Amino acid sequence: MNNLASQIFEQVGAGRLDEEVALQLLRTLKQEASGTKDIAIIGLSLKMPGASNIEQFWDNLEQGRDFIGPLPSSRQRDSLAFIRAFTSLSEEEVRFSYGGYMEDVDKFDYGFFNLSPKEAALMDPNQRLFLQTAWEAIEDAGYGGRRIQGSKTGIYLGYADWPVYGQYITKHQPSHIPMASTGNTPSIMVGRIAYLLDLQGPALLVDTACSSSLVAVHLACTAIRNGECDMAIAGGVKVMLMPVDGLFEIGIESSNQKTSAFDDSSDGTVWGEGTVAVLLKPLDQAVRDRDPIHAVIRGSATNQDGMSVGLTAPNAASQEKLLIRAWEDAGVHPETIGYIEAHGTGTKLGDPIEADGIGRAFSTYTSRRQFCAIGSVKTNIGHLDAASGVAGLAKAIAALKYKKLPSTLHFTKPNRNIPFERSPLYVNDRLADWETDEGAPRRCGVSSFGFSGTNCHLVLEEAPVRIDETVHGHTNDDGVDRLLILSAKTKASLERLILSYVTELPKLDGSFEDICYTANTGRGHYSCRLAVIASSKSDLQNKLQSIAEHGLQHNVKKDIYYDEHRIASGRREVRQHTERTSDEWRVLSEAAQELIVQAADSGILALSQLKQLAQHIVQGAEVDWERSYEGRNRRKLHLPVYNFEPSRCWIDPAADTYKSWSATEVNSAGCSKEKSSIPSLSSTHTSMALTPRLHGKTDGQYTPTEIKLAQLWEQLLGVVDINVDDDFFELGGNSILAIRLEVELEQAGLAFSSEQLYQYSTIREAAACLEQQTGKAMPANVDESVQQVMSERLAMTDDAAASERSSSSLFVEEANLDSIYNSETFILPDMEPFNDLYYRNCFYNSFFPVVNHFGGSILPFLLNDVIGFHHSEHTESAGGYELRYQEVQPIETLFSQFHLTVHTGSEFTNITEEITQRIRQGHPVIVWIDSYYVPFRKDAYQKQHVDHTLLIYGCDEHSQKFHIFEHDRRENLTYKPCLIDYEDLVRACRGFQDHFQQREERVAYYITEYNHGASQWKPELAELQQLFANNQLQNRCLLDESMAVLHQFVGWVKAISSSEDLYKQQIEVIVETLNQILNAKQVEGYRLTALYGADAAVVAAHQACVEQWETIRKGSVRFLYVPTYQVDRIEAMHARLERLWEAEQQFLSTFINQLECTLLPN
Amino acid sequence: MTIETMDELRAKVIEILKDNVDDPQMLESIDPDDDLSSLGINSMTFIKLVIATEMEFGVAWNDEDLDFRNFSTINQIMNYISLNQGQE
Repeated sequence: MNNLASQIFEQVGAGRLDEEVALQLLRTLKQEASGTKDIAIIGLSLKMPGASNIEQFWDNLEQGRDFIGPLPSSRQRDSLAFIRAFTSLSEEEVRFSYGGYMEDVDKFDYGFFNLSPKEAALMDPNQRLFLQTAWEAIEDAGYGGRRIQGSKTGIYLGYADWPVYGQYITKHQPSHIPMASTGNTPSIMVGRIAYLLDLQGPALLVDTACSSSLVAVHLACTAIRNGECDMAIAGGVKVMLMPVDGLFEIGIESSNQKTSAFDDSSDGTVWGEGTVAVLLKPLDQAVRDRDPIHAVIRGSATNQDGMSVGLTAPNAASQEKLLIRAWEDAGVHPETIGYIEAHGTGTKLGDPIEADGIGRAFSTYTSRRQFCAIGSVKTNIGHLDAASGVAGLAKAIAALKYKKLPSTLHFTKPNRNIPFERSPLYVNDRLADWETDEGAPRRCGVSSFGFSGTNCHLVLEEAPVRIDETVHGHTNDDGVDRLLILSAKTKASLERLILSYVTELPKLDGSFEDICYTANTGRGHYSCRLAVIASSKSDLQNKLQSIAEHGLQHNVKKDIYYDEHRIASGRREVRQHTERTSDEWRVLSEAAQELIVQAADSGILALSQLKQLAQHIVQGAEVDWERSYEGRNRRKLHLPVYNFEPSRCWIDPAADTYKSWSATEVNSAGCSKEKSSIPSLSSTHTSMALTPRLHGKTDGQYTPTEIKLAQLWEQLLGVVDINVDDDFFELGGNSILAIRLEVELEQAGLAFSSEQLYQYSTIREAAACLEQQTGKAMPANVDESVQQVMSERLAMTDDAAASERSSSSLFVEEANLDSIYNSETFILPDMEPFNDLYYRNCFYNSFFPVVNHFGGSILPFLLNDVIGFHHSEHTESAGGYELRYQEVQPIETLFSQFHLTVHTGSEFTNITEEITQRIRQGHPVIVWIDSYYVPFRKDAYQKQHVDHTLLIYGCDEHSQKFHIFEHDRRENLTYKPCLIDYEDLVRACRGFQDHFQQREERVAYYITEYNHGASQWKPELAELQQLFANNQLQNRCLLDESMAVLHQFVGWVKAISSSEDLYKQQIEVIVETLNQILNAKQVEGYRLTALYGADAAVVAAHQACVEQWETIRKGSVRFLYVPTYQVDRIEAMHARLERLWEAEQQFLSTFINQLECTLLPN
Repeated sequence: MTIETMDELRAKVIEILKDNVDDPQMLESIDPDDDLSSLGINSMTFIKLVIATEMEFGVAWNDEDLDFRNFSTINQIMNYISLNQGQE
């Protein structure tokens, strides 16, 4: 700074800088150097033994209460499960330790955080507790709801624990590991908070053993000062899951179940539990933003013992340096420090060292004696391990707020190794008012030392006095009617919140308008909402009191409004009156927002308007509350925070599968790895009652698929009451659970991918989708796994077709099913378009529906080819390379196997008459046409001549139209039923003659005739496998040749793409070839899956190739559209081509292996 | 570039789609959750769309990470973009 300042002076001196400007610069510089260092603690929340908020905590401190006691019996039961799992102690041998225990470590409001009860039960209680506490700290600062969302807020959590909870799951409930993974990953303790609130600053855990949480606060302050974040949540959490004498002891434990810091009788510490979260931001910003401030952090420091006498032994010299650095950082004179909240573990060794370190530090600045009080909160609640630093911080904040020094307990005779009489310190053994010199702020220090050797010290100061700048601002209310909104996700929670207000309001120091402002702008607005119109704090108090006495009722009375709402999807069958569709909700919100704007602009709303606004809000309107207070300079206050539902969430030891797990392990030694790592729910949860309560349908009738889904949802999410229209993800489902559901359904024989779940996220939708898939007629003789593959594909193409149908009526005349019954029309039954694959050419997309129509299977057709790479100078493909189908049997042989007679002809004499006649005889007709004349071909009609086939399966004499299957453009595999005018079809057939038959002799039509008398050919799967293996192995040379050609192709693509010009020239044809290759690969995959099942090694090897091909195609298409030649992308493609080559080699050997296995005699 | 609001993002996405579908008029009636294959989006136009969004929003995806399914509705495209922008 000095450097910069002298430069400014120089510039002014040289006349290059205006004096006014220079002055401004210097002022800013000074402000920056001094102003931004102080950090305000604007939000605070805690859970301690015997306290669930700062007021209760202070009350306990003021009264000198000691919360060390035995482990509550309810918790003993929970703890025994862990002790059994991890120790060899018998139940009789277990001695639970005395400690500072929290109540309700098993309680958590899973619904509030959109978690399923099951996932919440599998979540480490440390994660749950800190999540709620951090949430409360944010609300305490008035930053709930939208205010903090999307901000650059950091999260610093001190946490150091042995992972008991997660390890229990690993050991005893391994099937739950996927669901337990996020809840037991320590870093997700902060990640989840950032995710839920969209906080974008750093988020990290700090582990320096006992000093973790205070170091976390220090790091948060440093990050704010550095501009890494604008605000930060900092804190710590500690829960003891198996507090047993003799376990987890580190040698500093007290023998008399008391922590007697600085007392001569002290011999150690007692462990305790708790969590504290604070919300921090720069003091000057907090003042500008009119935030409520608990206290100010003036400075802080952290250091290490380095090589002390022992790894875990404290070091007075480094503690001395630490304090001096913290004081320098704070810029305060140490004589102004009135109190130090010591680390104070109450150990014989530690206490004297700490007192010595503090004394030495003070001696650098002053020789005054016994002016600074010292104490330790460990005497009240025990040593909170990683959370002990923030426990001390909370005590120091409370002392500053209440301007009193609480007593430290169990101090009767000073530790003989601490010479207090010569020290600047005295032990504060009784409650005392905290006096300071006139005008001097109260200051104190907080120490926390880790047995890792990392130490931390914070210097605090009391919050600056709030000055009310606004005229209306002060506590004298102006009598104007105002609206206050309180809300929660459940009615019970809201009722508790109202009670908190009733208790807190009389103590609140703030204007009525500030109360309304904070409640309305600084909280999320949830589905159960109360709106109260009141004219003053006491008016509000009376109204809330009466609600507390009479309960929440839906009807309006005396300016009190209450309602519950839920945004429902418009598709929900039965909507309760509290549910609104998003459209209704939008209208409501707009109306409410208009009133808000009016209030902001005119400064006031008439009572009638306030009533209207209240009505809208409780019905669910979302408004920008901030807008209504624009320019009014309101202050935020510490108001009651969200009251979470205390639902028990805990591991259920009855669900342990350890024994059956080890048993199945033996049995399934041959099972694949993948299966054992995601064991089936059905095998591990036999004890679970499979009776989910389904509702949501008016007729109360649920299909088997819906019931099956509900059972799985219940098992996965732990919810028992499910509406068919409930959204999986709103009930607490996440991407991991979605995959679990997929696995479970697969094991139940239902193919429903996790991706589909995102699309069909309710039971009703998912069941409909599944039923549609399985309801399709399947070739009777095909393996079940094929049916899955096919149904999956059918589902996909059907969806596309369905949406296409609804939106494309402009250019496609749809087949009208009613016309079947019209005597002038004749339509062949059981005709479905074939969109599963693009095999060889469009003829088969016309032909396969015919095969299915006659009850045959398409598989033998697909198996009849050897698919291999081929090179020829005469093709139009890239460099002459293509993937070619080489048929083994002539297609006619296959026709006759199916008892199909296919009459072909090269020219019609009378097209319309011949076709209608054949169809009426029951023979579907396939014709070659020129798409140039087909009106709904978007890509070709009147644009280009494309030869193409159409399947004709019906005719309508009256409207002169044929029923056909057609797609609207070449690349889209979405054939669908359409109607085409007789005239257009004739023109298209003639077009084919003119444009395609002139140059070469080609077949113009196929009339397919089925010999109904013959017995159907229904090959068994084994027979098809045999046939296929023979076909392929007899043409082994083609396969080997294919690999050689592929190798050349890879080399060719590399060579071409190494030159920008060549690549640009060839890219179009390369993409075309890649498309063709991928189509053929799809056929290959389809038939492999059909023959060997989706789990076969050969299918996996094939899929690996397809993935490589697809990525190469993506890159190529990218270059086709944006021909920017980037060397790194090209190099990446070359590497991928190499991997492709390896994958194809791997596939071929797996393939040959599979074929040879098939032919082995049994 | 940074997009301030979801409405802006939606408008941009629709603008991009207009240049990449056969019948831009249909975009006006389409629901953000409707399947875009009804507009003729296939694996080829998909890549075109990806490139257009990359250029518009200054994000770049690896070919390996591209998944057609992330581009099948307007809402999915928006999610995908905001997700990837957030990672920058």
